[in-house]
Amino acid sequence: MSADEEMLASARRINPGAQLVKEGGHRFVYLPAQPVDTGERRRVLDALLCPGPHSGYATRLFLAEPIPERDRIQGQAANWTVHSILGRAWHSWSWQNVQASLPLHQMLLAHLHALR
Amino acid sequence: MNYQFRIAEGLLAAIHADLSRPHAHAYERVGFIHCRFGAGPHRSVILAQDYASVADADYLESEVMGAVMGPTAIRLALQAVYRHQGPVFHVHRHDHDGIPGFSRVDLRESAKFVPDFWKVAPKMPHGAMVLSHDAATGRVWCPRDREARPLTAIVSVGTRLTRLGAAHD
Amino acid sequence: MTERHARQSFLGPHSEEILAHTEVTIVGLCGGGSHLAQLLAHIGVGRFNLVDFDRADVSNSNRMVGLDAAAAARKDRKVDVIRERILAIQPGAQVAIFAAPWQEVSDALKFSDVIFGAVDSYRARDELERFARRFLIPYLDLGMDVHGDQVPYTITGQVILSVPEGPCLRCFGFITEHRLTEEAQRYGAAGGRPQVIWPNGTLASTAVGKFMQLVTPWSPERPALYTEYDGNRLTLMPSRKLQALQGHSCPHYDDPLALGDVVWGQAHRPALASTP
Repeated sequence: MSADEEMLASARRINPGAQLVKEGGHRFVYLPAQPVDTGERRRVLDALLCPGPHSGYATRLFLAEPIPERDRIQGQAANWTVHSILGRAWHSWSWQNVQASLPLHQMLLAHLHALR
Repeated sequence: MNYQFRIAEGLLAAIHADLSRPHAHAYERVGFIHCRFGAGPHRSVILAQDYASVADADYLESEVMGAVMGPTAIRLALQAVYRHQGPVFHVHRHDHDGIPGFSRVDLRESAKFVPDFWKVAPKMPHGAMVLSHDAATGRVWCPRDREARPLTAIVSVGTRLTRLGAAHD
Repeated sequence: MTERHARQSFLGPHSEEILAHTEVTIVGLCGGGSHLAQLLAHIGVGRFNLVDFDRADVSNSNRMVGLDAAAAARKDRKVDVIRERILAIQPGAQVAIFAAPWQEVSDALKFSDVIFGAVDSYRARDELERFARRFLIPYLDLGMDVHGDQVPYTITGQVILSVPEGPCLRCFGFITEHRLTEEAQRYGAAGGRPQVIWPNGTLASTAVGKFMQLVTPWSPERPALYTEYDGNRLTLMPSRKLQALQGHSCPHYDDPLALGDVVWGQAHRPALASTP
């Protein structure tokens, strides 16, 4: 199994529809209709996980919409930013230190955990 | 719905170079421009991506045209569109300057074969384009209403933005 | 040709019509963008998309051309200020305004003939250029910087034209992963970058000059892709990087999904747009 196939297999443990896409030298894992839990509320949003360095972060998760009730995360300002990736607007927040060495399903869970 | 067409200068030059090659029988060479698409509520843009020449051997002799596209050429084009899943435009060139027009034969033949591309890419607009040495005219078949209409603009994009056809918007 | 365009008839017999039907997008309406908008309105561009999520304030007054004291005090939206200026110059212009980040309104921008980027960050430039390439739109980027913590300061700037099949901002070394990372790490650091009106005016005029070479046949010369501004010597020169990139083929836009719309569906493989 190639590295990409392993990565996708790991992502599909959480999101069976996960697909690998590329743009501008970055690989992304597209996660369609990804459940995102924020406290007691569950949203279902398309998401893009960049499993490598992106915009100054070791890895980064992008969502189709920002989460307004998460303007602060663990006491720090979330600093939501909007990005254009593959011709579409994606939103992300300031959340560092989710390392690229993690298996993809753990990487995704670590990002999602920040929004709980 | 109105449709604009954009093509990079280099790709257009490559198409002209191919269409300029002499053919043993055909008065005019033909090819296919494979495209991508940008949608909007009232207007759309068709983006030329690749060009596929029709091979010399894939023309059939014709008393009227010298040669016409043979069934192999059509089959290969359909296969390419099926794989590519984007708009496709049949293209040929008239040997003059200024805005070209579709001949009666062009109109009749394109009305027959262009809608066939919906068998393999049913949700895409497909069309036909005629070039001259310095201009172009195009017709696009819309999958919604199955009607043909002129392209509202054909623009060559590079360090010069050149409008190749009459404006229809 | 109308009397309004009589003094620019050398631009070509159809130039007035060409300009009236040309649709431009300007992202960023402060230092560089405010100049651009008014230059383009004066010269006769007929269709504008103006994009800026911000409101004007008194700190913009040193450089935002067209911002009067009353509008600054009211903190008017920048898109409204500039729209008003364009319509005062050219009442017949079609001006669409988007008081939002451009990424959120990009669907409306894909039909532009040219996109101008007068934005502050490398990331914004990188994404805007990528969007322009996706829809085969020439992208004109301009910006200035003041370097140094004390005298002597240095002012530099650039106008870069990025066209399909040509070298991109990454090919020119203007955008690099290092710059993007550094910029991201500086996010939120105190203070706005120094910006002043006269370099912005020079750069905006240069960008409009390139635009005019793009869209009208007045000059047989093609616009230089990369022009560098030395704000201390007050010179504009083609970048030396142009020579190094002759015959260069840009490798940065050959991804399978690099052109046109992408369809994002639940449990479907992202594919290129299939529904007009």
